[in-house]
Amino acid sequence: MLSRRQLLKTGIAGVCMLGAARLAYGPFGENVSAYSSALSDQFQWLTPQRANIVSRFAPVMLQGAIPANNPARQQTLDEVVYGFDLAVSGLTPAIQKEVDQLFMLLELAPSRRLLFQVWDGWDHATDQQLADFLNAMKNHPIGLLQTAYAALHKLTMAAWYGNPKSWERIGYPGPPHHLFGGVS
Amino acid sequence: MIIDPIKQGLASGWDHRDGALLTEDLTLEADVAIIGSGAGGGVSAEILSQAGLKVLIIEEGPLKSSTDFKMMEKDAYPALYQESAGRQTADKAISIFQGRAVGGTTVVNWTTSFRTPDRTLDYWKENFAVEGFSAQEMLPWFLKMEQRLNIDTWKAPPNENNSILQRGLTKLGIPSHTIRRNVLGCWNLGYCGMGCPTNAKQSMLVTTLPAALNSGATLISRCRVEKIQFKSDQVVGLDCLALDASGNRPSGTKVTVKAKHYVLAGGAINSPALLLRSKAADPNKTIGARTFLHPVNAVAAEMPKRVEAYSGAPQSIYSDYFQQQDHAQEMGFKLEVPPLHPVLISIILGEFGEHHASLMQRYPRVHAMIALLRDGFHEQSQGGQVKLRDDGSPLLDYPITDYLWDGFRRAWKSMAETQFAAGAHRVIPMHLDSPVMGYSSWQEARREIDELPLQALRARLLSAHVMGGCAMGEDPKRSVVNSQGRFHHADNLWVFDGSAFPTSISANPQLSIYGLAAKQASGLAQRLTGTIPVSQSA
Repeated sequence: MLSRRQLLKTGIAGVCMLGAARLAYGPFGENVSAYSSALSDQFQWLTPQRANIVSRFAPVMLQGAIPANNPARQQTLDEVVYGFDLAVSGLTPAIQKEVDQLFMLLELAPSRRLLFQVWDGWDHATDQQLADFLNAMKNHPIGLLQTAYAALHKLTMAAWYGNPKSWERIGYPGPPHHLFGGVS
Repeated sequence: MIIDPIKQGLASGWDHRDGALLTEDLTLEADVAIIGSGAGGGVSAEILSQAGLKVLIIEEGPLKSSTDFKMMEKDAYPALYQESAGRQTADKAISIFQGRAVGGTTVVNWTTSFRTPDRTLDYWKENFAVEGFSAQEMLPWFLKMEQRLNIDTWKAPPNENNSILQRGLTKLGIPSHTIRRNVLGCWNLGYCGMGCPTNAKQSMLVTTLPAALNSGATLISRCRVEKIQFKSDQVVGLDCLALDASGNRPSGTKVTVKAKHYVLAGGAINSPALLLRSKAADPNKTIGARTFLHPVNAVAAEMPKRVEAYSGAPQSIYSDYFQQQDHAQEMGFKLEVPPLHPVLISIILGEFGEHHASLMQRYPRVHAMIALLRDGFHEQSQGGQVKLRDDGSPLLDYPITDYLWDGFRRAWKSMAETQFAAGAHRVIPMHLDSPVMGYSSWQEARREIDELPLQALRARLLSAHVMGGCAMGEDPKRSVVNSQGRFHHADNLWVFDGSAFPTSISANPQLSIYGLAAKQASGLAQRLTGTIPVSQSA
């Protein structure tokens, strides 16, 4: 494990590097496959590469909350990724820019390696590695990374728990639409 | 079948323009242009239009009504809240829930109604040279608005979520009271925060705004005021941008507004931000300063029986016990409960994976309690500063001082003790360093809460009450507007909303805003027409 001091140093280096790399190359990704689903042509904000990152994190974030087996699991995940895109699309331009920077941090190989110790790209990370990564980010001494965790957490949770399919498992009957003669 | 008063009004010929549907630039003229249609703007619009003045109401958010309110979080948050309910302070430590629609926050608030406490009014007089706001002088305005909006003590039994607060406090010998609500024929559903689907909530959307439109006012929605144009000591116009259908981006169409007088009522954060964006005179750097939030911390509890905190009037019980003592030395707080809907609770629970899923499975038995800190009454509680992002949008920088942290710590303890007294199995302070499954006894909680790190981003902090930033008072060095609400540096610019408060209210602020706006707008109407306005609706 890295010490707090090392993490701080690499963290700051990573953030600086991100800035430098953006100036030099603009946003770029590495070893990130393109994601596609029946819903992905409706995306307003996610690129196929970013959707792929979301689709890797979402099942770890929602472990135990979404169906364990296919095909229900895959369909649910597709809806979560779609919901994530909808949630980001509704944000103001200034906040979208911040989410954009978060994804650059995740996409960029140097920052991914330095900050998150993920060497071979998100495609190859195991669920355990992804969970470790989320925990590290949640408890990271650098506030920026804690806020990055909070953003991923909020957007993923909102994408799932805003979906009526999540409600049966948590015992929520849903809004009392029956009093209005159903949703019109 | 619910009758939709907005659909009816539009059919009857109300003058409403939807900014997103404009195809060419537009100039609008009026006697009084009102920026914002929430608690301050709505009340002002009714009073000024019924005084015979030509009123124009400009609202950044969309015009939505009961037909649109489907009690679904995924639709309500992006449509009806500032920044999709994702507004945060600059360091992201505090999430801010503020409305953005025709009717403003009154469309999505939980209907809790308190008069401004006497000691808050006294504090303004003594410390901020505010004139005309004594308890005696304000009483007629509160009475007027209570009658207008049917504000009355909630008569139905509290839902279980509120009942637990009451039972726990009673066990501890602490008094609690029943909340007054602005509802008429309430169905007791629990979805106030997503727009009232039955029009029972007496928000601006179904009361003052229809009255203003019936009196000939013009409403333009999805239209953002970008800049107030000043010329020496006068406002000479407003530069506005029509927004596109998403409501977040300018469509490219421009709207120009020319009026004799201008009432700023965009709410705390947005009102001072517009003044800053317009480079309004600010020799003493008071614009946007002292912006308050009633910062909130929360504790969740697992109860032995079903709570169903999503159902029933969201807030019906409160306690002021922890803010009634003389808290010159420590932060006081008000205790209430929040309604819990799935997205809201899933976001506040900071864990992920199996732990989060396991807590969510207990959802129907989850109780939550909130403490609202009384900010603005102590040298270590000077509130935040509204700033502008590069794109001109507002950002509130709100530092959390040791004095506030001490208040949060004591509030976590008081809330945990109350929940255990009410029979909670386990209690979890909303803090990332709480044990995943919380504490199982009050003794454990009392000990462990002392160890929680008091750090921004670790504690889950919220706010639904933004106040201040354009403080009123007679001393221009410490205020933005005078006691009548007039901007110190322009003769025809007025601020009639919660941003004019010199401190927080230390109670849910909607009725305080109604009372202030009724008083100030009546004063302006009298000044412009020469007669004392008589309300036709109350």
